Amino acid sequence: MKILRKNVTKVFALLLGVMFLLSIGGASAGSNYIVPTGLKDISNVPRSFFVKPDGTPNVKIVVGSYAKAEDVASAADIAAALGSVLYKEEEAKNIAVKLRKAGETDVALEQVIYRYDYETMTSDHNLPYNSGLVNWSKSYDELPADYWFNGASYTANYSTWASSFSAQFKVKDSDAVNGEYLYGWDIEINELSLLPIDPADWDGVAPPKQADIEIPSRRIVVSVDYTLYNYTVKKTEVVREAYPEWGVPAETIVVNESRIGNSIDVELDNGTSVGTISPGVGAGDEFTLLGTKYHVFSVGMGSFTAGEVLGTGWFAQNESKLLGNSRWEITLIGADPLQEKAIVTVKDTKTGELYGPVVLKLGEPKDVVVTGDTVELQLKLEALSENLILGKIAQISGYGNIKTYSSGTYVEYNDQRWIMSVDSDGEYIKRISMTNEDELIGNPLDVLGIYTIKYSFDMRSLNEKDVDFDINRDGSITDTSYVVAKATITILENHPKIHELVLSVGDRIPGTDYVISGVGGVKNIVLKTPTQPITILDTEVNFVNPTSNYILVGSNKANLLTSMIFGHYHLPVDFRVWFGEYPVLGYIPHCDLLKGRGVIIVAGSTPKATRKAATILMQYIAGLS
Amino acid sequence: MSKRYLLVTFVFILLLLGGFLIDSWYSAYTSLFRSDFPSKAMIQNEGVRVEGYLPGDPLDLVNATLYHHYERVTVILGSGDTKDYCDRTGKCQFRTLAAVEISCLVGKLMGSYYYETARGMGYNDSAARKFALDQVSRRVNSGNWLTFSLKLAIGRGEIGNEKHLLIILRGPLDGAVENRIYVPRKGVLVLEALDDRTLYREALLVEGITGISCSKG
Repeated sequence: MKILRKNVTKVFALLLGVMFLLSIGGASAGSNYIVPTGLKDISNVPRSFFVKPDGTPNVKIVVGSYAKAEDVASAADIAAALGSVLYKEEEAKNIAVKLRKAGETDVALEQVIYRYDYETMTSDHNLPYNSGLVNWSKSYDELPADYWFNGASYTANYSTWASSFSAQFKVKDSDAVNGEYLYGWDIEINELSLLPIDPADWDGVAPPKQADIEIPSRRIVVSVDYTLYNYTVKKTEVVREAYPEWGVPAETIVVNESRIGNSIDVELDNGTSVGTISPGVGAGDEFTLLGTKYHVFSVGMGSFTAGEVLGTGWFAQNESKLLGNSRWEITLIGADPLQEKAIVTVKDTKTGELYGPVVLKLGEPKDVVVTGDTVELQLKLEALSENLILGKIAQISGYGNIKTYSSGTYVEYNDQRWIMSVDSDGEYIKRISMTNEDELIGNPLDVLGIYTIKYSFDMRSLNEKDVDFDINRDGSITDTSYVVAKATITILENHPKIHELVLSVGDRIPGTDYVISGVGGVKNIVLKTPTQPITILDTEVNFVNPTSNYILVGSNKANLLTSMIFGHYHLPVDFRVWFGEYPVLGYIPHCDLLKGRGVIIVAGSTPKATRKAATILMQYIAGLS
Repeated sequence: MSKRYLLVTFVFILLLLGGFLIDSWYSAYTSLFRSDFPSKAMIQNEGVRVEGYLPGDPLDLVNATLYHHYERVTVILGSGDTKDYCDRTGKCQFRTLAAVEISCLVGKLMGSYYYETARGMGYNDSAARKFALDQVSRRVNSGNWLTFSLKLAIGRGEIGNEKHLLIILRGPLDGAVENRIYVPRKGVLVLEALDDRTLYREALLVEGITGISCSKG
């Protein structure tokens, strides 16, 4: 009975709805949206409304001055759809080429470390062409031990290969002194070993089928050279091409190109040092080492005293907050701006231990947590102030792990222990090298987040009968399969590179893509932005000289231009009454308000209805041909 | 009785584990907006910095992030606070401008890729554009306001990875503290600005960095 009554009400409501729709004179209902009377259905919009024949946009999205949240979403949806068709054929090709290129990672080194095949047998092992290949392996277990790479040929065994492995890399602009990222890393790996996933399955003869790579303790060295030179490199430039037919020789001049780099760079580039840009890191400087920022208090011979820069933060009274990204949580329990003092307590969030209360005086560093010779936390009150809402507030900065670093000091990076080696002359830190104390293990193996080392093993077999050829040269073709195998170490650079970098739309800055001023630590660049964005505010539409067609997003309540056009065409003002919750879509091929430009209205009485209208428009655009 | 105890303890442990997991995802989400990036560059006359999670040129990183083929793209328009503000005051035109520019850029990047794919398969120009738009409408989700579950999805890396590009608009009500464009991890680009007008400028700057734009000139 109840169900029946429910259904009756439903049918009644539906009937009412239909009657309502029939009764509204101001609009006609499409399948699932309403086209205001007098406007055309969007099915009449040609493709040329959106895009010119050459693929450039012919339309602007007009954003309402009173846009609501769903209007933002509607406009974004339409924009994504438009973007997917707005390009010249040539441009699309360029973008696609770049996209495909970017997917590839740079291979820094690819080395086949074990190779067992016809070529290595005959050339590296001098097995005679006839009769010598009779022992060709038929399975993994028969693979010989002496086909590992020794740097020149495939004649070594596993342990010789492992200890002779060596690779060097350079990573540019990785560390900074006082904010300038000019200092590169020189990485050297001197030994690799393989740790089979299943040790029982491997006897150290042939390459393991699956293995982790291990860099043993102290076999990788990363050094950062903090002394930088200004140096010049001689380069030959062609002033005039040769025209040999006329006997005109080419004319060249030698120019000096200025570069910046450390002593290794100068040597590699065969450059001439002009001057020293940075003598190193001195007391009072801030520098980064493998990404961690340090403040230097003093520099000795072969050692320096420094602390990690934890950052600076504002603290309101009774508020507990971490200092920067450190493990220290600070609570300001009292402050006296008159006496320039603040009282804080500190919690080590790693151990849960509490310290304090400690009185901090303005401008005076205070060692809060000390263990042995290391100041684990030093705080400084930078400023005190009173705020109407927050009450008393204090600005506090801090350093962590202040100690003297010298050759042999341990530091942690990514939970791994590294040993430091310091080269300093009493005034400047010139160079710091680090070597791993813990072994680094994995496949792929991540090295400092910059490189990935991978190991792979590949074995294939071929049957003599299948190819009708005497593979092992024993004089007969039998139903026997022979294997070939190789193992490879690949070192990939993690950071995908875009080789071609365009900085501006349209024309570029002549000569260079960048303008580097080099002032203030951070590199300065000049960028050009599009002068005619695809978007325009309703208040900025030029009625006298409109430059494109327009898509108006939002009802007359959200969008002033929609409101004006509705007024101009004597369309209903109250969206809710006329259109209910339906999405509203209308097309004006030649709007006389806008000098005959075309207009599409995407609206609804509610932002949700507008969003639906946007989706319908998107589907329509998708169907255009 | 003891069974009941066991059940209660079990449920309690489950809740605790769940809470811990959610907390770790959430903090992974918030750590996207940190400020200790190794690479920085300043855009002159704009007061906007470009930063990246890898050392080197941050502009390269922005380009590498956008010029990468993703299976899906999500654009976050802002947090719930901004959404409420928009609805309450209706003053979101610059947020809309920013959202439109960045969505159009993404649409174009992805569209070009599928257009070329379709052309490679022998489609003609208009059929290829249709194919591209169809793919883009399915793969690009540009009208999202931030929700708690989205934050968790971002935190656990489901959105914002090698296969799923995430672009976040972060304005004054969303916790912005600086004017900067940055890549905090693989597959994530954040436009952060202290006011929505700058957010819009930043969207145009990204067009400048990539050299692609839906606009003219």
